[in-house]
Amino acid sequence: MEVANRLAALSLLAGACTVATAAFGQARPHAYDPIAPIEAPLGLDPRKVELGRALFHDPILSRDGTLSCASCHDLDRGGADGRAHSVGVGGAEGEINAPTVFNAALNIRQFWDGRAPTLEAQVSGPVTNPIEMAADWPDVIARLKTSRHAAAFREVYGTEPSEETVSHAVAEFERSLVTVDSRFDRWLRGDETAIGAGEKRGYALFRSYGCASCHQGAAVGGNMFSRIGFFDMPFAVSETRTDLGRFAVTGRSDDRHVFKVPSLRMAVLTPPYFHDGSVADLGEAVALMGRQQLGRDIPSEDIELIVEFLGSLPGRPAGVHTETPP
Amino acid sequence: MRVRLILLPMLFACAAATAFATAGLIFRSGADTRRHVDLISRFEEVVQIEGVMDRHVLDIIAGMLPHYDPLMVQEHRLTARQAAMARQSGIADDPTTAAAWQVYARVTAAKLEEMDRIKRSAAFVANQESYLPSALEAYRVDESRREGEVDLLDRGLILALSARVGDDVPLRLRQMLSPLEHRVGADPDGALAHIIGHLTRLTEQRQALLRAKEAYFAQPSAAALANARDAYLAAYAARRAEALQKVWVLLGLTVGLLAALGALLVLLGRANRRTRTARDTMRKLDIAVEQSPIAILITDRDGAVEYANPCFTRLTGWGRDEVLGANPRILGSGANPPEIFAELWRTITAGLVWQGELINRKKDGALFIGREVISPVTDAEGAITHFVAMMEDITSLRAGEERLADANSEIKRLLFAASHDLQEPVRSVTLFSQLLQRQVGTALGDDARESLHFILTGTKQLRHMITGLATFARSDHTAAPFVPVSLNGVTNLVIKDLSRDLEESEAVFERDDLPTVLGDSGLLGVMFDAVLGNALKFRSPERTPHIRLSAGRDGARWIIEVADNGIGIAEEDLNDLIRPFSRLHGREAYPGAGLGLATAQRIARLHGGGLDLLSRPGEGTTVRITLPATAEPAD
Repeated sequence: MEVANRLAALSLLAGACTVATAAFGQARPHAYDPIAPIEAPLGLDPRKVELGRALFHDPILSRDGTLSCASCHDLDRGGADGRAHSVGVGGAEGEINAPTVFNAALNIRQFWDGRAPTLEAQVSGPVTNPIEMAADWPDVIARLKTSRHAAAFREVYGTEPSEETVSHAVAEFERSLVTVDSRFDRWLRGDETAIGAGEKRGYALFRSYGCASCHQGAAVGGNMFSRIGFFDMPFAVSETRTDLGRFAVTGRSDDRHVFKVPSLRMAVLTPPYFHDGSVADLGEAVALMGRQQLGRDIPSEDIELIVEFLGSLPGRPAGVHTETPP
Repeated sequence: MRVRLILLPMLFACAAATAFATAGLIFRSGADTRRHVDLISRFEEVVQIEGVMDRHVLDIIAGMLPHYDPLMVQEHRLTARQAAMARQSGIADDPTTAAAWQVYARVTAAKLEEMDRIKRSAAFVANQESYLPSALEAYRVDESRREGEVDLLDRGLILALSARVGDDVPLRLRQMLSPLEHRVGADPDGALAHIIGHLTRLTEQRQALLRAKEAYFAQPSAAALANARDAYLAAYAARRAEALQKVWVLLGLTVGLLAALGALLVLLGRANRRTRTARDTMRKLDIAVEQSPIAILITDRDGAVEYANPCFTRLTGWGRDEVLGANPRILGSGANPPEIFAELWRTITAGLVWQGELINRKKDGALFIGREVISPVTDAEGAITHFVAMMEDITSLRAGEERLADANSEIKRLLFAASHDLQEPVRSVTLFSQLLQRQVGTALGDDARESLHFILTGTKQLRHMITGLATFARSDHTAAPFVPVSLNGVTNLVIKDLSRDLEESEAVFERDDLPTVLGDSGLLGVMFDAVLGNALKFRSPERTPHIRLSAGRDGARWIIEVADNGIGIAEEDLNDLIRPFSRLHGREAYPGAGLGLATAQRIARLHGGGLDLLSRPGEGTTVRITLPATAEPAD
């Protein structure tokens, strides 16, 4: 990321991509791209990742032992649950759409309204949310102390399980869930054949329509907040508590309906869309975004190309890379 | 000494403790300094991150960042550093610093909120800035559009893109575009409304962007950070000063304690040397006491035995272990009069030395006579702490003395009896020999006459000896108590007895006035008779005898000298002369029993004085008699 940053700055100073390309060889032919390839995370502790993976899939974290993190963030379903609103303990229906856990590490902050500054801070939310896992930490820790994980905690952290170590282990696991080596990233890195002509065209449209002004960076989103409905307000008819967005955090009126711009890396795999899961079809979501955010009606053939481009974005989970950077 | 010995480990412990505390303080201070350096570098890092963030924000506003990831990286770094620093000791544990840090954290949070707004408005503005000109161009190329409308829209775009921040900008845009209002409804494809809508939104968001930018840079994060840093530095400086003061105090304390320790060690060394010297002396005394042929017993003031030397064990049969703690009463025989013990205790408890003899009992029950010296031992204040008893077994000595006395008295009795009983037969022999000589006288032949002469000479000699023996036997004791005796009177009688000899020898006799002494006048007469008789008897044939009797006082005694100019005595013979029956010269030349000087000396001694001879052969002899001048009799 740091390298990308420096490269971008240098190329800007030089005023031309070609100079940067010449100077840095094949590394970045698309220096001024609003989208950057995802770098594999460095410095993760494999034992903590494994402990986090085990916890992530263990319903021990929920009050009645029926739900695990993976219940709503199914790694086989793009890191989400395919529902508009997730279902919590005892069948309680949530009020918001579960975002994918993939690339969550690349988010500027966690949750749609960004109320959690870190992954660690985020873990506690679903665990204790009465309509999600509905547990409380003392119970969870007590159960964990007698569980099969206790030995791993002592081995990995040198202490008994605690809210802090549980959160850290889960977060460490989530940091391993950035998706690398997507076809689009390979193209960004110079492999011209990695994506097809339609996808390249779709990418060009994604930029020219202005989608990329917000869905940008390595995660194609997730690094900023923006307001829903610059041009067309979707909340005119009815407004729920969750529709307030970041206003709930800052309390400022101009933060009303402001949400974290979601990453589109796994978008093709994780319908339905938006914080309320109100749109099931990706093309429809793109069209809605065009109207609400850009004030444009995007033609359906362009939408198809854009969706095609979005299909080149998912990569594989990075896992743990132990090699040191050059 | 004992106090110092306790002081030593205490001082050492104190010195070690203060040294340890000092080291701990310095160590902690060192750790504090390292933390300080680390924290200062973190402050620097935060300043640097904020600088990078500010540049990125300006880049975003200028549309010069392709995406916001670099900014997000800085934001994540900043919040992570801030969270870590807020927990760091040095910030969290100092109230002033913590408060200043809270202010900074609030300012930063506000700044990040403004940054979020900048990011979203900038994204929107950048988007519209690239879209609107092309939309306007498309509108312009449409033949059906009027010239004036496009101009108005161009001016609107310029306003939207160039206007500085101001509440009136959207109003000015609306006023500017108001001539087009009636045309919007008539626009068949809604293109005009579309462009006006975009222009309006762009204007709003650009205003929002500029306001957010102002708000972002208006946040006094640098000042707040500097404040927190200053507060931290002040707290650190205060902490350092305090720690330094503590270190100095502890260091001073340590040095002081070490100096005291050193001084104490020197003192102990000196005391040790003194002790060693004392111990040397003690050892010598100990050996002396242990080897002493005198039994030595040391008791405490209550009489419990603390020490007994080997001689004591040999003497009494009581082992050292047996007597330790015991009372010397174990030696009690019951044979001593009780008053002697009363006197003993009175003496020694008064701090005086008691000497005397006690009859003691050995362990085996045998009695012995001990000559004892019992001394109190006092401490520096004069209080009695111990008693030392030294005793000597004088039982055998006493027995010997008694045996000797018995033997002496027998000899004396024998001598006395012999001298008296023999006198009678000798007198008879002499008397009848003389009678025989007169009766037969001339009738005898020469041989018979000669034999008779020998008998007469022999008996005369025998009578002399027996008289001398009687005198000698009498001379060591006196029946009557001593009375004052005028030596003038005594010597007058003696000289009267000797007057015939004096006249015969034509001797010159001189005499001083003699003193009066205590004594037995008879014995003293015998003494002077012997001495003056000798002086006359051993006269030199070559010169006229010259005898001088003189007296002089020497302190507590009288010195009476009888000097003659007789034949003198060789030095080697002087001592022999005083023994009984000793004679240097043939009886023919100087008749006598050989008991004169011995008897004289015995008498002088009996009177508490003495008799010496000073002589040179051929020049004369001086007999020096000393007699006590005091009025008291000798023992």
